[in-house]
Amino acid sequence: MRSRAPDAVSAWMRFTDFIAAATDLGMPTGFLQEIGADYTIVMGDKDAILPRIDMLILRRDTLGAVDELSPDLPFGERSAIYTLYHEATHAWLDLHADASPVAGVIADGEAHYTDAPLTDGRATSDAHRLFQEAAGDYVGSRMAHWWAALADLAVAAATGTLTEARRAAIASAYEAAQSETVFGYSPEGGLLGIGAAQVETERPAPDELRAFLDCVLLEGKVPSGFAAVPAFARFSAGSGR
Amino acid sequence: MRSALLGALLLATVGMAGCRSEPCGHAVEKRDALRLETVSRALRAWHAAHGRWPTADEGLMALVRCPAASASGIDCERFPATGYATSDALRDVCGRSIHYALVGGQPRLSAPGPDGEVGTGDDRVIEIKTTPTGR
Repeated sequence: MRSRAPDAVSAWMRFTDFIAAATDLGMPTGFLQEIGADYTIVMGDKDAILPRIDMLILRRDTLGAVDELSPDLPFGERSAIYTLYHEATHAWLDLHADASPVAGVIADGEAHYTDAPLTDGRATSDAHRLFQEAAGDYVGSRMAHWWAALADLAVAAATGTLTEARRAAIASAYEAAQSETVFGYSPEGGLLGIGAAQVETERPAPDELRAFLDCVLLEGKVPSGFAAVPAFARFSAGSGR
Repeated sequence: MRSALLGALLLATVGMAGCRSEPCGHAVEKRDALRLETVSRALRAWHAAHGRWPTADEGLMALVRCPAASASGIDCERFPATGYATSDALRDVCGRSIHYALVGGQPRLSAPGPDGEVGTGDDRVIEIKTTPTGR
């Protein structure tokens, strides 16, 4: 574990607290723990990584939204969970970029996204970035949908409204959301990156990439089927108050 | 320490460029969509508990704290102490307020798009419909 400058301690401690709470809730956190050990984590005015110096930058409101992480009221964590998992995916891929099998996953992914079509009708000019954003978007989205279902179940249970119909609706929404296959964008236009627009791709993520991320980063804890999610099992119709 | 100093310098440099290219970080559209969906979920929970949507005057702050009891008819004794949403959740990724309106009696949430203004063509919008389960 590398030494940390004092200004990074607060962000690192909050990130570590998030990992502990997320682990207790049944979320995949092994790769987040790697980032916590090997990356410097600081607060900044945008959520991003600086891979050349192994630095993860998180906004104050991103970390604030997951302080004392709980699926109960109030709502407000979902976007931050997306962000944390998205940026951590970039960081993890950076940490393992030169080792097998990650190097192969990256090479295959970049080949898959070469000249991929974008929603503005053009082809991407940056397959490397599109692959990175697709991977981050995939992991972040899976976790955001997982969290949404958990929060909906917890709030319904707490308010005495978790009926069979409500549980079925949450399950249906979860499975519909997890059936999404298209992820990522590439920055297009601008000058030296300044003024570039984020344009989403229309090309689905490759099955091999999704399977890899499901298994290695998401630890098999975020399946597409609602009934297969261990963390949801404790919420049966009629549970709660 | 040297790495932290280098990081701070790079952060400042990237930050300056980033303010113009990607003002709020990566994947802004996705994050804003998730924020709108989060507010939508909170509104549905509010509706399920209180049997109506917040009025335009009550706005989204009705998700954070109980509206004035005399006017709202809401029993604040039963209002969750935590509220239904955090005040931070009522802003988009760039920190701008999410706009709330009732259109035909149903909520519409709008986040300003890249131009920073609500009411223009690039807004991100969610319209919420009452479902049979009230959620």
